[in-house]
Amino acid sequence: MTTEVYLMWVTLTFYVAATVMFVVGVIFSKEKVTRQAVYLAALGLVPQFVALGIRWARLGHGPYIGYYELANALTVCTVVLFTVVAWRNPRLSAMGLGIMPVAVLLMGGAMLANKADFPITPSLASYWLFIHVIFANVAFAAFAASFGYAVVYVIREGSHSGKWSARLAKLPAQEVVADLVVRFALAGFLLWGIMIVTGAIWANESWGRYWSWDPIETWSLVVWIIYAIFLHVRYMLHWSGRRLAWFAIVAMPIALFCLIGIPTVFNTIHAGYIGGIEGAVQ
Amino acid sequence: MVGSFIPQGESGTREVSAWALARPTLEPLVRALDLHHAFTAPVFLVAVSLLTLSTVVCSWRRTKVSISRTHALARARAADTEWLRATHDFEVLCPAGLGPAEALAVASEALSGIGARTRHSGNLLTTVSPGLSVWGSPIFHWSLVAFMAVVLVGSLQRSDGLMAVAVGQTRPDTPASYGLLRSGPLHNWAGVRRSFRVDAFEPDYQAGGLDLGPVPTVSVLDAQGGVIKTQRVYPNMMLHVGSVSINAPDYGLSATVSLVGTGGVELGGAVQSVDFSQEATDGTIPLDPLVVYDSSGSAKLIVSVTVPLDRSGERFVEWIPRAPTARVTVRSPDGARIVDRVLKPGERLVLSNGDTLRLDGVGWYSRLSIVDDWTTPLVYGCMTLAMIGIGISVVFRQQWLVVGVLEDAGGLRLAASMRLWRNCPATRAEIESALSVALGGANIAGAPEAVAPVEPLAKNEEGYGL
Repeated sequence: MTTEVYLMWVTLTFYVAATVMFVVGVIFSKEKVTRQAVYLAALGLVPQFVALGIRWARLGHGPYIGYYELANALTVCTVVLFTVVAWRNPRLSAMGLGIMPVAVLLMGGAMLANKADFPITPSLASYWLFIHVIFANVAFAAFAASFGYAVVYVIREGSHSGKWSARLAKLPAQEVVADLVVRFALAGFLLWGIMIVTGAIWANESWGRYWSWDPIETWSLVVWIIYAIFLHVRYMLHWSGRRLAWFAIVAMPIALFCLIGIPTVFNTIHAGYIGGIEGAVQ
Repeated sequence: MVGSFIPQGESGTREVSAWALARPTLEPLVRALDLHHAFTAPVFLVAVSLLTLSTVVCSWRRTKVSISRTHALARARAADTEWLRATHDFEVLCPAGLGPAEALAVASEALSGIGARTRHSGNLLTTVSPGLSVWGSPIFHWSLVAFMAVVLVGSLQRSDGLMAVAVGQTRPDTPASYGLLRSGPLHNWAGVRRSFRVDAFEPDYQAGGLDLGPVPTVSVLDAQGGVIKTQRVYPNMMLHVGSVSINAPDYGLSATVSLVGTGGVELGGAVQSVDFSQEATDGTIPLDPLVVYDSSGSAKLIVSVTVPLDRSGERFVEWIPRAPTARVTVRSPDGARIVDRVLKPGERLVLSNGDTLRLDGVGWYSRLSIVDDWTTPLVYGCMTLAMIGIGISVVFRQQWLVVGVLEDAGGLRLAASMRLWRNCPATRAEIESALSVALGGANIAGAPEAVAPVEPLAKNEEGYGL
């Protein structure tokens, strides 16, 4: 347990450092620093994977249960997606300015949470758990990427003096960034939808009903509808630019709240996956 | 969202009552809008109906666009030079000395550089998305419409209830067997000819290294009493038989009693299921009292049976007692207590009319959650199809691009015709710029004004991509 926690602190340190370097790299137009920040974020994944691997081997289940594991899994997916995108297209590295703070907040929250071992309960003992959770994590990563692009879009768009435009000059054209905001939201919409579908099938197998308007079910549908509205205002009403970017910025925290906030606020049959209400926060 | 903030349920429940007491000014409005049953409230049903209607309208509009795009893709796939001459969006003058083949090779490389990979099709460069690519959105939206329709049909015809079945007991699938039952108006009870039996109950079942807790073995029987299917039922291991799904969410104890006539003739038997309750006097409460009727069919006696539990400190042990007994309370129909006795298995209690009530034994009962809904696989199918629809929208490019060399008295011109609908690697401006730069920065000209586009863009056509 101790080694695992030490490794997680190392990860958090890497992520904090990467975030600081993104800020410095962008503000002082140091492209090299921004690139190094991507490497640092990728390096942070190494101790995180090792720590999660140790925990997985010890508990016999993946990072599915309890706020600590859940936040870790969300962070891993978010940072992996970001580093892969930044690796393939270095011009997109500056989007770390929007994404890495999310990763740091999630990891920080995880480190303050209860790290107790939550065993698999009979209702969670299903292969659907893996399928359901992995789609939730990857969907969130896509929403976080959309959020990250939206943040840099808004910063650059709001730069009346032109300073921020110059600092973010390495990014592709604004219309390309705006397109990426929508593409990642669309991908997240698909993945979130699959998460809901797999959850419904699993709920039927586990509880005997595929939908029961439990707060988490309701809010996951709310998030899906919010992103459906996002895509409709983009494609049907032709929203674009800063207005659409702000929509993506506001939508992502709602998805995050749905994943980790609901069991701590509402009475839900899903409380088990976060280790019960009392287990959510140390 | 409102439904998750306001407690859901009947007005008498603890949560709803507490919420109402804490918000006396808000409660009348909540009650008027029936928001304690938010997901069946009229305001919610109206919203869902409007959503369904708008989805139908959207689906129809998207279908029309997809049909139009399918035709456009087919035309682009069959493009030739004359078609390009009539429909091109812009043209670039080729430098002198550059032949048609070289111009196309240069254009191909330039397009590849911005992610638009083309292939040679005769003397043209083309990239045309497959016909399926433009159908993601209609598939998604029509699947949602179908999903809503299936859910509506399901709510009208499904039955969903809780049935207490003691070990060894067989209960028919009729409304009278259920303790709690929600049945759609179109559910065909007359056509149901099955029954359920709990064959065994393992209060501490272990499998795969997991303690699965109390697990019943349940059988579904046909009209003749033949077993259709038997299995252990626990979370993630429901019993499915046709449209019926059986879950076992709860359990308790049962007391089996027999009524014996004055001449020693067995008049009948009954099973009293009891739930654990730390608040009850004996630690258990009966689900439904047993009623003894006289020959005219009037209630003669009301028999209530509980099972006194063992104690561990202040709490009752929720398990079969080491020495099982049953407390039998007999009341008259007006509620007056006639007899109240604790019986051991085999002991008898003489009733006022001379008949005797015998306790046969104490055991477990399993509360089965039984859902009869043939639409569930259809719901899954609609949801899966919807995901496939979005998947197509996410993955496939929706575009066509045809580039060719036109030759006339003015020399060679590279002409391009395109529709870039969705997920395209480059914009029209980028394509124009790339071709212009590749051909030495020659002039770019729009299509001849006299020539009308073959497929005029429908209103908001660019918008039908979702």
